Amino acid sequence: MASAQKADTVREKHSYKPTGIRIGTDVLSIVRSSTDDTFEGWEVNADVDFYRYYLAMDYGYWARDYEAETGQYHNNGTYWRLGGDVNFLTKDPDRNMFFIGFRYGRSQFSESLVVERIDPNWGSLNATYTNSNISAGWLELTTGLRVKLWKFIWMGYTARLKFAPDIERTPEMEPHDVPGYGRADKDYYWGFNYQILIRLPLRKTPSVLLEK
Amino acid sequence: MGLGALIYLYNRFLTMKKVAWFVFFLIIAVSCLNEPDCYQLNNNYIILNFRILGGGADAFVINTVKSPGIEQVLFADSITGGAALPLDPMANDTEFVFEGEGENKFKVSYLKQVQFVSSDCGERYTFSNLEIEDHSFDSIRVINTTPTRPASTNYEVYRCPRTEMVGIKFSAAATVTVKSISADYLTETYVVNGTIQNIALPLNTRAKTTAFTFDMGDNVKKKLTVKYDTIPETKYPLCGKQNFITNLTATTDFALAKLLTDSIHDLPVSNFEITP
Repeated sequence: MASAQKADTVREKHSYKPTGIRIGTDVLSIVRSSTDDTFEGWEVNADVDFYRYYLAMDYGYWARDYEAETGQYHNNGTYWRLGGDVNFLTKDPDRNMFFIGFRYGRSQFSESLVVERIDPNWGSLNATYTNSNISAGWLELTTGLRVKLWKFIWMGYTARLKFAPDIERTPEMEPHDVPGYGRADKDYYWGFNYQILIRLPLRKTPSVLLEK
Repeated sequence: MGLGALIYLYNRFLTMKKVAWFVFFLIIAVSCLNEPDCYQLNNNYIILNFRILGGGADAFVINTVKSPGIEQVLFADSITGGAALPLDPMANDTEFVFEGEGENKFKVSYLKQVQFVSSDCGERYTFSNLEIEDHSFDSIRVINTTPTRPASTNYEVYRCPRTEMVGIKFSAAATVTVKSISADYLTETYVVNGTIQNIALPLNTRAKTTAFTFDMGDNVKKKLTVKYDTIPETKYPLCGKQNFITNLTATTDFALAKLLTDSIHDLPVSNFEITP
């Protein structure tokens, strides 16, 4: 009886050696850069597997230009994210993924604001404000899919809930938009990436990740 | 890509369909929460409440409030218990000059920050760390060093109580036309030239009586003589020693001067009711 139970609980020994690296880019950023006059940016994404766990890294750039009746705003900067995902489709032979994960994000950026307006009390207001090379960090909860399209070509999307922003404060101008995060006055923010990726195999992929 | 692979992918997507829809609607729901709001962007108004030491709210007379160097009137024509005054977003301090019964100055410094909000809303200025640099009021109590949205009291501005203003009320049935009123210890005359119902007149705090003469027109003059005791007392150190008036009585050649309250209050209350 004891030996039968022991036989039932035997598990396949999983290998935590990486089987491949996926490298890709966010298609939405590229599309938005050509269709949205206020946005310019790109983002590259990469992940590497350790059985059902993935180390994920992102690096990107974004710039925004806004015109208002009373002035102009411009920012630009780079950002990176580092974190991990857990795949919940462990039995999929193609290693397609539905994942939940987390990230730590960090951005380095500059911004400027030109104000030109008539104040009803104080008359003509003309000023230029700048924040140079300031930084911000935040956390993210992520979820999404990765699906193998053809041979080495993968697609996927990542939805991210960004929260706990820690933004460097400056005495003259409060940041408006943090590259990689979004509006600085929001305690949480959402993000969405649609990615095309290439998977570079590092070793032969186990046919099925069985877990009995 | 072969047909089999496409069918396979389709099946894979079906298995993940519920999750995908869930995530999609989550994104839509959260995105609706991030529309910018254009209302109440700035907190550039400070609120001053005018009060009387040892008393309640004041009725402060303001003809104009201006800031040196600009012509714009920031606040005007009011007998008010409070005033909302705009801070200059281009400077780190703002000085206000109050013109009313007298002239008062109030200068406040602050930290200001600008932030772009959106294309529709433009920018906003936020102010904090208010500090009084200078003022000519009797006393100011700091309530809140950060202007708020919506605006709430930042400073309570106190003045010393006036101890000499006696309140006179003409009886409700009477319509009294008065050309002017004079007091026996003052050279100037209060010109009224109209009908009055209530009026506050200054007693001589250095004497025990004050006589008021009401010129009713057509060479008709009526006299009201107010008698009282004065008690010198330092109730509020910053006001020094003041003569507080009690035990008011009156004699008059009006038909009647009825005593309503025998001590002086600030703001004035009706001490006597006159029947012409």
